[in-house]
Amino acid sequence: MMEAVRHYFRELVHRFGAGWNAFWYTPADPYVLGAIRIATGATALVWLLSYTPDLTRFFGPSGLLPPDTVARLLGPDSTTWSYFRYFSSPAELLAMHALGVVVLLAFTLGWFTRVMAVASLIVVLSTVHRGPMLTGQAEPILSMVLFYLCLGPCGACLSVDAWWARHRASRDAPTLPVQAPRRLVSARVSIRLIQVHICVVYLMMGIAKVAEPSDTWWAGDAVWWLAAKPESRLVDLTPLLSRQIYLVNAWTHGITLFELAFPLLIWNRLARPLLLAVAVPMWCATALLTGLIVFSMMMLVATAAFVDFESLRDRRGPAGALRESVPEQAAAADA
Amino acid sequence: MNEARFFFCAGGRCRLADSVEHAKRARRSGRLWEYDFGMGSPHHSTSRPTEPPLSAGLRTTISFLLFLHLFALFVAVVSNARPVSALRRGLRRTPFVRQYLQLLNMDLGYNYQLTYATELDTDHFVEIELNWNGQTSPDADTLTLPDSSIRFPLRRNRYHNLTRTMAILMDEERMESELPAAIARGMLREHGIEAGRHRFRCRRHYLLTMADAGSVDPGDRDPFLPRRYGTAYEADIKVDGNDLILVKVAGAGETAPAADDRSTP
Repeated sequence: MMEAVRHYFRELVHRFGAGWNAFWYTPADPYVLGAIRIATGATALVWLLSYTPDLTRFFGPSGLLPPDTVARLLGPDSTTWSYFRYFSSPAELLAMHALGVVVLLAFTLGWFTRVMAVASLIVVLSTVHRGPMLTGQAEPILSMVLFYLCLGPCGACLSVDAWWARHRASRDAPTLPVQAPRRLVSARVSIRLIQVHICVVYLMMGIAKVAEPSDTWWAGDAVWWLAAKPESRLVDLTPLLSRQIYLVNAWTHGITLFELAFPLLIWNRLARPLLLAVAVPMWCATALLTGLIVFSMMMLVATAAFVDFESLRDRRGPAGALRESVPEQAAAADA
Repeated sequence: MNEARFFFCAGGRCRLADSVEHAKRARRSGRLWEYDFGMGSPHHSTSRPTEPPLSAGLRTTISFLLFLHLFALFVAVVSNARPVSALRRGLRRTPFVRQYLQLLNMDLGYNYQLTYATELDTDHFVEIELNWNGQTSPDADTLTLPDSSIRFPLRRNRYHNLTRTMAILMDEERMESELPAAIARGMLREHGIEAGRHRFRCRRHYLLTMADAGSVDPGDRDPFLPRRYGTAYEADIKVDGNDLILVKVAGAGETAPAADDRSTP
């Protein structure tokens, strides 16, 4: 009996270790990180640029959010940090803001990506921490993805860095064929962290909706209340939705179901494409309905960490090869 | 032994054979609904260059850091969901966890509901009626935040986040006047107003119900009717140079603690 228990635990530890290694340390194609970097960088850039007209109004010496007010609201235990604390004059604020824009632009293009990824995270976090009262659901997702991109080789593909490396390699050895980027363990760790974190976000969003005290998500009219905010929404769907109660109910329940199902089913190879396909219209519709453009965009970007770009490219490869071989076969047949 | 096998497989050639074998096994057992955490696909090219396996020491270090990070994420999620048990609150006291989470803007439960269908879900805005003489006048000069010229959704949402935070803090006795005082001072300084008595209001734009939207009366369907607006917070402001005194007017004859804000420019 004891031997059986011992065997069970030995097997458990062994398999858990092997599973953990397989999950985190299988080298992965960094292509997906490159795609996520571009989307995240572009979103962060738009997000930061949208601060420009209000920068002095919010953070200036006579602004709506003086640093001491923010510090009092956050409490003495807060450990947030922002470089904007050291700059208060309008000229200084604008200079730091412009520097932040340049950093995010360089990150999006993939120029000195390793350094710019860390600098981008600092820019975004500094802006968030300077005025947390201005932020909503989007900023935590944005900073989360940026943090994980700092850990992985997000500039190995689709970047100025990669282009420059290829250019140098072809100049130094023009006869050698151009090699695809290596599969890397750090790419896998970074992708996995985004995947795990976004699953947690989906799960908590789903649980919050089914456990909420006001029951609006259970009652099926939550989508109506989102659509009815005239100041926030991008598109007024109320004339349509007011006559379609079943549509409102189905949409509401569909969102909850999707958020609860996502963290479970996304790991299944059969269900993954379906969930990814549903995510696109769902988040686009949410952006139109609520005006939460950055949040919806970042949820989509983080969800894209599940797209198997390597597989897509490799499938295109043989298909392309097949297409290319057809004229050769035809020519051979003619001969 | 297991690790050696794993790294051999991950290295390339064996991966395809493994996947094919896995598919055969799944077909034999009739289990099509199998989880695939490996993310590997049988269609992956085997000719791609792959990084050599990490050393065991490096893997252990990374695993330890991953464990710490995931633990911090777990603490953030469980300690920010309400109600909080003593154990979950205690987890927040783990050294450096709270600081780490706050620094990375991860100290939250991600319990985004998007709407609770409560008053706090309405759009809020700030109004300052200048030179308040005890009575609201339709001709009075009024400052509004956000003003109607701000149409870009990201900017407008930012202002609504600010006014919504103010509305949420109204229930916190110690904090309720902090943000209104700062906003009022900023708005008045922006317009060069350095003195006088004014009336500060945080207004709500109540949402159109489905019944109203489906009404045959066009008046009922108008989301901008005056009756759809309410006052969530009201305060008297007295400004004298750099000094601003804000006294909340909670109801008829009822006043809340005053925020005496004497700041230097």
